[in-house]
Formats: sequence, C-alpha cells, structure tokens
Amino acid sequence: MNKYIYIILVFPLLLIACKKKTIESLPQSNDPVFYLSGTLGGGDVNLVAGENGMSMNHGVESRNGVSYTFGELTNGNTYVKMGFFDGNLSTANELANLQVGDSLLMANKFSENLAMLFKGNFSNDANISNVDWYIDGLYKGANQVIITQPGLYNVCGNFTFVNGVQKSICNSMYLGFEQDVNFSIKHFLSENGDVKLWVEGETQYFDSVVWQIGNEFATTAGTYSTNIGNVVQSLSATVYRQNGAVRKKNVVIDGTFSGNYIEDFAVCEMPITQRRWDYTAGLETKINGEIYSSFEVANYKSHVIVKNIVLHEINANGDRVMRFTLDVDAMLKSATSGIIKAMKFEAVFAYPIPN
Amino acid sequence: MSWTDQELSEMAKKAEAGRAFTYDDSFWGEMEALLPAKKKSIWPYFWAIAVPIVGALTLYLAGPTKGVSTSHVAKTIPFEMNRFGNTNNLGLSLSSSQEKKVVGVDLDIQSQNFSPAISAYSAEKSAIKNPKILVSTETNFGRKQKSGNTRNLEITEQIVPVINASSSYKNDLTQFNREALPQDVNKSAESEIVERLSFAPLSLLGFNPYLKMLALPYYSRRRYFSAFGELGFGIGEAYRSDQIGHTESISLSAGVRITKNKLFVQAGFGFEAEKAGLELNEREKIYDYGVKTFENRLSYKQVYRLNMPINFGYQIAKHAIQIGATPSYLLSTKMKYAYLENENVKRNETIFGTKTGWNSFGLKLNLGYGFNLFPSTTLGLNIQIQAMKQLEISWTTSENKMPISGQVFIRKTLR
Repeated sequence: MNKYIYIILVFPLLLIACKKKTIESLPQSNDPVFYLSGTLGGGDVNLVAGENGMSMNHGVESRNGVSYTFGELTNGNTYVKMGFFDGNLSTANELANLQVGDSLLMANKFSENLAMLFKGNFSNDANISNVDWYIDGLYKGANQVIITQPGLYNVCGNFTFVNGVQKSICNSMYLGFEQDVNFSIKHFLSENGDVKLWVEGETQYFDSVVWQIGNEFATTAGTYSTNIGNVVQSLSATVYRQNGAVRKKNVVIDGTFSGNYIEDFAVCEMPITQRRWDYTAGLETKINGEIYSSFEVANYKSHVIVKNIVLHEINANGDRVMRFTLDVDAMLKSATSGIIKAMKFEAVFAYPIPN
Repeated sequence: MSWTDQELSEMAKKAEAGRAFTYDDSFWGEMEALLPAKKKSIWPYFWAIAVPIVGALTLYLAGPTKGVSTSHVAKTIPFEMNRFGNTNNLGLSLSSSQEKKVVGVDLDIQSQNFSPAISAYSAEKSAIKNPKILVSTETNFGRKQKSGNTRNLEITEQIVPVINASSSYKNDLTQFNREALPQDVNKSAESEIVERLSFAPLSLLGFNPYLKMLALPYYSRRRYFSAFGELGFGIGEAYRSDQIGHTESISLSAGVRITKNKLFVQAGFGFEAEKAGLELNEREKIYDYGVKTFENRLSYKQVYRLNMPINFGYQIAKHAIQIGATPSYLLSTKMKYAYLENENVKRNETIFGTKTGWNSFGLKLNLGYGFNLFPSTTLGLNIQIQAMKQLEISWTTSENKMPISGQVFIRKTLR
C-alpha cells in the first residue's frame, strides 16, 4: 500500500517541483491610433494604421522651396496624404502655433501666373540683349519663363547687354505666399558717380537694413549714399524685420550710365488676387488606383478643422510628433479622369514639429 | 506437553461454543489471502502491463500486487468430502466451479497432529483447490453431509476447513512451529488458549499457523474497510467546441472503501495524465504608426491532475453501481509553446508546468458500473461530466460546456 501512496504522491510532486519556464507576458492591446474614416465621392474610405498593411508616415518635405509638413496613411497602393504649408516664409515654421479649433483653408489652384521672368519687364529691356534664367539651380530657358506654382524660388538671371557686358544676380522670389519682408531697392545715380540707396516698403516694421557693395559690408543705415565711380556694381540690401524675418535682395547699378543695370526681380512678379498658400492644407490620395489632388481644385469652400492636438512622442531627432485630429472637407480632382469629387473624413494624423 | 486430538477438538469446540456465524462475501477473499502471494501469478503480469503506461519506473517501484480482498469474494464455497478409513474423516475440497452457500460448520479436531493440515491449508493453494483438507464427520462438521465415499457438504455460516491429520500430512508435522505454542498447557492454559483464540484477529493468520488454524472460526467477523488501487483509461470530448478531437487519459489512484451490507462508499486519491490536445492562443496588437503583434501560442499536449474521487455505490452480487464526484486539481502541464512578434517566431519550445489558460480546480460527476471480474478485481465503466469550467474565459469563449467523458477502470482490492 505504501508503494502506491508513494507513486501517487511523489510522482505529482516531481511534476510540480521542477523549475518551470514561463510564457511571455504580452502588452495590453490598444485601439488604433491613426486612422481615417470618411467618404470620397460617396464611397466609404476607412483606413487604419496597422490594418491591411497601412502605416502612418510623417515628415517635412519641401515643395517649391516651402516646407510642407505632412502625415500619410499608406500601404504603398493606397494612400491619403495630408499636409500643411508653412507660412510667413521668412520666419521659422509656425505649424506648432496651431490651436484646437483653428480652421485652415485648403490650398487652391491659382488661375493666374505667379511670375513671368521676361526681360521686357525690366525698364532697361532695350539695353538687354538676352537673359538666361535659372530657378533653384536649374536652367529654365532664355528671355521668358513663367511660374505658376506657389513657392519660394531662388531665381538667377545671367544678363547679357547689347554692349556685350554680362552680369548675373540671384534673388529669392516668394510666389503665392505672403512676403512678410516686402521691399524694393531704390537708387539715384548722379553724373559724378554719387549714388543714393534706400528701400521702399513696410519700412515701419523694419529693424535695420544692411548694405553691401559687392561682398563688402557698407553700412546699416536706412539710406546709403556713396560714390561707386565709373563701374557696373552689384549691391545688396538685407532687411531685418521686427518679427525676425529676414530677406535679402540684390541689384546691379551702372556707374557708366550705359543702361547696364538690373532691377529688383519683383518687376517679374504678377499681381495676384487669390489668397496665398501660407498655412493652407493640401490633400492627395490614391484610392482604387486613381490619384486625386486638392491642388488642382479651387477649393474656396473647403476647410480643415483642428479638433484636437496631442503630443504623441519625441522622436529620435528630438522633435515633437503631434497627433492632430482633423475634420476635413475638401474637393479633389482626379489626375486621370479629371473628375472632381468631394472628400470628407475625420482623421488622426501625425505631424512632426521641428524644434 | 501435547494434546490429543480429542483435547484439541474440545478446545476448539469451547472456543466456538455459543457463537453464531453468518456468511460474508469477504470469506472467500480472505481465504485467498491465506494463500502465498507468489502463487497469484496473474497480478504481477497484470500490473506489468498496466503500469508501464504511467512509467516504467513506477512499475518497478510498485512491484507485484500482494493485495487481497475482503470485499470482492466468492459468495459460496462448495465442499466435497471424502471418507477416510475408520476415522470417518472426510477429505474436504474447495472448488470454485460449484456454488453452494456456506451456512456454517463446527470444528472437531481428532488428531493431535493437526498442524500439518493447517500448514497444508495455509501454505499450499492446492490444499484448498484440491481435496486434501480433512474434515471430521464425527463432529457435526457438516450438517448436510451425505453418506458415501464422496459427498457434498453444504456449510452454512462459516467455513472451518479443519481437519484431521491423515497419513498424507504426517510429514508436515515438522513444519509446525511448536515454539509458538505454550509449552505447559494444562486445563487453565487450555482455557486461556481458547480465550485467546476466540479473539484472534484474522490478520494474524499469516504469522502463526497455530493461531491461523484456530482463528478460522472467527473468520466471520465482518470487515467494513478495505483499500484498493484503481487504474483507469478515459476518452472524452475536446475542451473546445471549435476544435476537432478528443481527450485521452490514464489515471492511477488508491483509496479506501467502507462497506455496510450492500452499500459502500469509497474515497480515493490519485493521479491522472490526460492527452489534452488543446490549442490556446493569445494575441495582442499594439497600434502606433503601424502595428506590432505579440502572440503566445499554447498547444497543450498533456495535463496532469490530482483526483480525489468519492463514490457511493450499491453492490448486487457481482455487480455494482456507483455515483460520485471527482474533484481535481491541475498539477502541471506539458505544452508546445511558441512566442511570436510581428509573426516572427521568437521562442519555440516545450514547457512543463505552466497552467496558463486553465482553471486549477475541476469537478467531474460520474455514474459508474462495476463488475467483479475476479474476487478482488473489479472492471467497470464510468460516465463523467465535467461540471466546472476548465478554461479561463479570457482565453477562450468556446469551451465545451459540461464535456462528457467515459472511463474504463479496473480496481484491485489491496487489503
């Protein structure tokens, strides 16, 4: 009998006495964080980061020189990408200043040209033989280049005058965005070579103006007078605005009185009546193989309402990544069929806010 | 000092005077208990087959079964008596081929050398199986004996297979342990012996042939307690309704049984190993820019339990029905474990001891039937229903409700 008791008791004890390996403790599941739920042209659109291969990408990219902070739900085949343009381009990115309840406008398509780089726009066009235009380092053509897309462009012109003189200058052009440091350089040149320089614009907001002759610092006076002699001279004025915005412009003046000067490129900017793209939103999507964009539609009545903003994380770069809960109502145009559809949705997207 | 046969007969008569005996089922079992265990060759082989299922080591430790039964015994013991010469002694044979009710017998020992017969009786199974135990016909031993050389004797109340020394047992005298007897027995000593023998416990039978013989008349003392070992094989429904398959189990238990007339209650304590075939899965999703999945895949191969069966039953002849409950405690498990992150296997191993997903306690209700295959061996069937949830609801909602299982068991009365 004892043997049976031994068997029945000891064997189970051996079973439970051995060291046990444990299974992994799993974290608690959570609800989807980033998602989009809405319609496109009446069809439902529901995307969730973490489902069907969807993930939430985010970042800041440059669109024609302007920072575009975007969040994108994508699985490679289907995506919804929504971003915000920077504003007040001469200042730091101010997307972080968005507040809950803010209503943003959709970036609309401009119906007019934003700039025409053409020698005929210059007052001394009769003395200009040819101009080769470069935009952001890329050659765009001679004599006439038209810019239709808003952006911050670095435009360079190689001017060849009829007397054979060649001169090149570069200027930044804020097209479709507010020029928060908006000015032009003016000068008066006397026959003896004396020249008087000043700036025109919203001078009441300027802190200072720095003048440079060639690459040499000249003065910080608002008005600058000097004698340049009998030469063709490039000079620049850098304006510091009270809000911290800075903008520099270059011109060329001709001490030889041969008409070989080059005016501020502002003469090539077209007057626009539509609203600028500062802090506007853009929406692009590819659903069922068809690509749509809000930039190709006027979108006057569209809106994006910021319903909530929450800090999601501090990323590896030390930048804040914010979760924006958005209520979007926009018009999109198909890139292939040209059909315009309304897209409405609520979404939570991630947006980085660089420090 | 020695007694004559007549004196010994008188002593036995006095010891038995005024006592009434009733037949008890346990007689036969205890008769078997008198036989050397090594002669019961069937049981070592039985266990040798059964026990390896729960482990060769267990088999080795267990060894051959020596248990005897008082609860599962033949009901009747037929006698065949032969007349032996002038002494009118009868040869007594016990045969299981006939069934006649034992109603009683008186004892009359005519030979002072009675011990050889006892020795033969107790030491040799053949002494019972074959007609070599001698019973005197002169002492009212058989109340229904018939004349002739061979006659059948139906004994009521008590078996007293004693005994007169015949020439065939003369040589057995040397085996008698005379040291166990009082060396100077007079009348008072005789009375003392009779008194002592009147209360000699049956358990002493295996130690003293002297007492063994004289205690036989007290064989009728009813035994209420017995111990048993039980081996069971079961098959049952799968734990989950959404999984195809079944469970298989083997159990080994020991317990005690209390018998009162035809009713009995028994309680046991045992170990059960079950082939579970249970798949549990735990999956968590952590959403962020995408999703990370964490998954535990638990494939339980075996579970080990402690069982504490309690049964109430009713015995009718060789048949018994029983109802009861079996509380259980989950001791341990064996499972194949896999841990995955984003569908990539990070761990894949066999783990013992984890009870994740299980409730520790269970309770099976059972209805059973048993058949006395042999005097101390019962073969039976239990139909069981698990009354408690075995799986944690957080792991599955598809647990089979009150799964049914069946169990074939073989029970061996040990003592």
